[in-house]
Amino acid sequence: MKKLLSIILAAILIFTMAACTPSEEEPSDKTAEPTVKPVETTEPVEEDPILTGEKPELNILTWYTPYNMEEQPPYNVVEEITGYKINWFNLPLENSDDKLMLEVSGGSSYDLLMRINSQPANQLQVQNALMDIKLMLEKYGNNILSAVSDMALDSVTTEDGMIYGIPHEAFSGTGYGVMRGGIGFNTKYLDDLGMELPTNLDDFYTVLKAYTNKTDKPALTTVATGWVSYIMAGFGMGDAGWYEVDGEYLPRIKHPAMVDYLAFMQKLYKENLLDNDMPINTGATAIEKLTNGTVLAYPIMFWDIDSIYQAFDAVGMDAKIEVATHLAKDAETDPVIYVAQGVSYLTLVPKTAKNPEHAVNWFNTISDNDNFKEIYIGEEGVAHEVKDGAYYPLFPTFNDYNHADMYVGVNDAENAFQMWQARARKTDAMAEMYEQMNARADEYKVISYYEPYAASLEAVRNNQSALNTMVNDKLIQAIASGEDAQTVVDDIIEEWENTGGLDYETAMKEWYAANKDLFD
Amino acid sequence: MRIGTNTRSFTQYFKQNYDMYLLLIPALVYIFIFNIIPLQGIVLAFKDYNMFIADSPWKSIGASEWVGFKHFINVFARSDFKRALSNTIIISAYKIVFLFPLPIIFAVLLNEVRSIKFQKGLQTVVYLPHFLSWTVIAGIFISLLGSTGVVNAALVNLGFDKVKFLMDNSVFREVLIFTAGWKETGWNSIVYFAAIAGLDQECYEAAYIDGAGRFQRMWYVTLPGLLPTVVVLLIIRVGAFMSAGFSQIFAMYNPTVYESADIIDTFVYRIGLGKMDFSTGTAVGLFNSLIGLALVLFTNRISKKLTGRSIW
Amino acid sequence: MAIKQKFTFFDIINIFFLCLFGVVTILPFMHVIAKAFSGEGPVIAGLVNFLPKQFQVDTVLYVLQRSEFLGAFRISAIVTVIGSALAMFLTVTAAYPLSKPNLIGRKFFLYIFVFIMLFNAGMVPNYLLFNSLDLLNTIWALVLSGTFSVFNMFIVKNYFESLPESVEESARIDGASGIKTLLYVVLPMSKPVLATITLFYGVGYWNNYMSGVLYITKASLKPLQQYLFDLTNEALNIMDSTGNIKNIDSAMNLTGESVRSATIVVSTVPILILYPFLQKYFVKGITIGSVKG
Repeated sequence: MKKLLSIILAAILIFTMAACTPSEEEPSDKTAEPTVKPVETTEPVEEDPILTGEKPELNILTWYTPYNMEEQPPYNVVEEITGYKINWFNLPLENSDDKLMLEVSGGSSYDLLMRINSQPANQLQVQNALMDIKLMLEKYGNNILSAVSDMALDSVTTEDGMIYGIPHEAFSGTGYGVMRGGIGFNTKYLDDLGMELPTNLDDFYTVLKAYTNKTDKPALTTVATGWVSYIMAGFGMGDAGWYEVDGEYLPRIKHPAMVDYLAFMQKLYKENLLDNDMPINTGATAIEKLTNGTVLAYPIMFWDIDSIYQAFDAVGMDAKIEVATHLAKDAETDPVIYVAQGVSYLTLVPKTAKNPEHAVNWFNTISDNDNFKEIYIGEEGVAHEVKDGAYYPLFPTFNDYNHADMYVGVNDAENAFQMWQARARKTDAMAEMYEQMNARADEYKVISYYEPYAASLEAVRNNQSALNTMVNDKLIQAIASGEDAQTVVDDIIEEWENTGGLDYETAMKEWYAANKDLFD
Repeated sequence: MRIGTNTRSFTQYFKQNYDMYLLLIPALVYIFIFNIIPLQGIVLAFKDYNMFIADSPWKSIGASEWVGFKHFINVFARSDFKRALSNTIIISAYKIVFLFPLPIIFAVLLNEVRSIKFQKGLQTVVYLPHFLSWTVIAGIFISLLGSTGVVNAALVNLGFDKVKFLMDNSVFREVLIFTAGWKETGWNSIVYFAAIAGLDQECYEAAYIDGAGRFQRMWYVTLPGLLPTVVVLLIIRVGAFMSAGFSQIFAMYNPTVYESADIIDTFVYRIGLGKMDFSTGTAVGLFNSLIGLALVLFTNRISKKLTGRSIW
Repeated sequence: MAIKQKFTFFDIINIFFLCLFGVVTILPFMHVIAKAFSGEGPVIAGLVNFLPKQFQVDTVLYVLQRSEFLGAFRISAIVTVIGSALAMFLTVTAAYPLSKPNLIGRKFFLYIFVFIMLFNAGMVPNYLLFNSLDLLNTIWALVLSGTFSVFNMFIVKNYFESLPESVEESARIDGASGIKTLLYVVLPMSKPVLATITLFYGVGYWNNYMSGVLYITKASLKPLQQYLFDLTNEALNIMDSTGNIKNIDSAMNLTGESVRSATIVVSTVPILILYPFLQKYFVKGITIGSVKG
């Protein structure tokens, strides 16, 4: 009896606690205030209530963030600039596309779906779940229209002239700044070997071989992957999934140099130049082997450098990292890098939005050049400074803007890229690494690839992920097993074609034929 | 329903025991709303689900097109499905045979230790691995069992060759079983501890008086006392036969061991990537559930014959 | 009369192997704890095994102050307490009648329960149900998913069945109704199983990750396990299916390994505290005493 009483008491206590929890309302609840003020009929020019009237709260769904968006400094900056209060909602880390479909079809009312991947965005369009924003853009979207390129805008316009989303373009630059990663070498070990940083495949092999012969340990380690783009560069391939070869548009697995690449990787593995634990390596275990001095080299991105130096310190390793960016085929050929052009995400207005005009208006405000800069990298002189036309961070204020990338609208891609570089210069080590990687940027032949624009085609949507995973898995297996490269590649191609690859290929070839003149 | 009981005695029974039925109501209401109503969705296994077809996704379930066994065939006809099926069966069977008895043995043996402090202390410790997710544990085991890891270092010291624990098809299953046992044995033994604690002490005393030694007491009092619990848990475990452990295998496997460890759930996961296809998942789930049901009925019947106990 | 048991050779072996098992199971936990209290450098280099290197408490303190963590922790605490209470209520009230062998319709009800244990239609219909009930993005969505476990109900039912009938009969004879018998006679005798199932539900709620993913988009309602999962699997978000980095800014801001470990450690503490309280109910010989013969 006593027990029961105490359980009941506890329950009452808890229920009261729960009742005091601010109740989180579903977005479809009425949070909107009336948007229209009665307009003076005697005015010769009608005031647009959207621009001058009261601003309602907006509900915006965006993709995953590890932090609470309403608690980051840029949140307040945005509210100050625009005058709108935003209720942010996030998709989960996994199965986010599924969740998005459910939320939209289930009637949850969001005013804006911000930064959605092209694939689910196009799904929503096919299902008729999106509003035509063409008129709204003409009325309220001047900043947006001037920021996006024609090709990008084209990709979100249907045959009937309906514009179903605002494109966020990929900006990775084509000159200085295009390199963000490469194979990092331990400088102390290089010195001990008396060798220089390799820039082509032959030198690369020689250096690795020298290390393993001397120390009997693997020279290179990578995470579990079949594709190492810095090595692929030596075979004329890169991050792109599709290649123009002799006028034909081919998937990477059918590239003429594919077999040679696989054979090369198998050779590295067999001779223990490549860490034989590669298939089970995670990022953490691979970086351990670099930092505790087991291996000579490991592919890194420039921002990994601080952690690496911290670890070197802890181990007592007196060395730095020098990075070999994409390798050239041999000493005579120019190195090649493939750079993605295309639309990374879309911002959409679902049909169930309660305040679509306000949403577009808000988005337009944060896409204005000055506003964009203020949200992205803060005030000049306070959070950042400009030196020789380049952006540099000022601390400690700059740290407030670490996550500002999720809060900004769209801006001219090149412009935004320049501003982004302030992030690349956050610490001395990072800035140094970024410089080092891009020191040879002008030696590179930069090839832009446009396939992200095709991401919304149905055959692509349905097949791309599963096929890419299958190919990657089989490459890992093949590198470890050492089976004859030609047989393996033929085998993969057969499986690829049988499980959706043919549809995928047909769709891509059609798209290529229709669009190749737009490539530069 | 016991048909054939004449209404008179049922009404009498009801009058005397209506409070029993009253007690059942909350649970029945809950499962009706939260378990039975959603079951309608099982028809998606036979449809091409398009959630936008009707006004709401609920209505779209009804409005979507019937496609018969298309999704089943799509999965079963794939070249790697047979392998996934056989791996599922083998790994699940290994797990039941080797891992089901362990918590029982552990509980019984720990029960034999006289010091209550020791018992309690060890109990607290052994359930800890249950709380770490497989992602975290997989990371630890990859470090331990990799070629530069502690275990291989020890093997080399003792004069053996290195073993590729996580990349060799001939040992990977064993690694899976071992790590699963290590993670869950402690936690799974809690239920048996509680059962032992509920055993009637008088039985032990009576046996002691009759001259039974410790092992005899274990055999004639403890184990039979645990039998009802064991039977129920075993039958339920068998019902989940087709789940060979997705979270574990997903966290620990890699392409070099697909041969021995790719199970139906991981296989379906990979082929469904990026597709937003709920119907296939529902179809495979239905397939697994039907097999589970058959096994439950079968095991229940055997249990009735052997021990006289049944889950219903 | 107490049972006298000599300390034999068997006991030595027994204790030895049990201790070995204990050591083996605690080691990974020590590893995670060590990483939580180590400097970032040694953690990245893989130098940390079972003892912290470059010992520091800053990481743990940082985690304890992160508003996302505290929010998620609070949500999970509330959900666990309310949910477990509700779950216990549903489970015990269902298990008791079903433990009566002469209950008419017993088999029928058991068929239903076993059926729903084996069959479920997956995530989508569950989501749609909560959507229709207007429970999305509320704390009730977290409380009401997983509230009733057939497995747990069977364990309780089993336990009730093992209690000697004589005790209940005497209560009956004294004129007590079924419900009163349950409350005043049966439940006090059932402490081990009640403690066990409370633990199971508590842990089940505390560890529940899926309900957050399915039903919540508001960041302030994210449960702890989802927060932890996200932290551990952040890298998933960064790459697309071709292995190329999708989002540079996210990639540049990944959480450090020691923060991850610290979060894991701090998230597990509540259960570690709860268990000893329940453990004292796993004590032998409390059931009978009131019945002779």
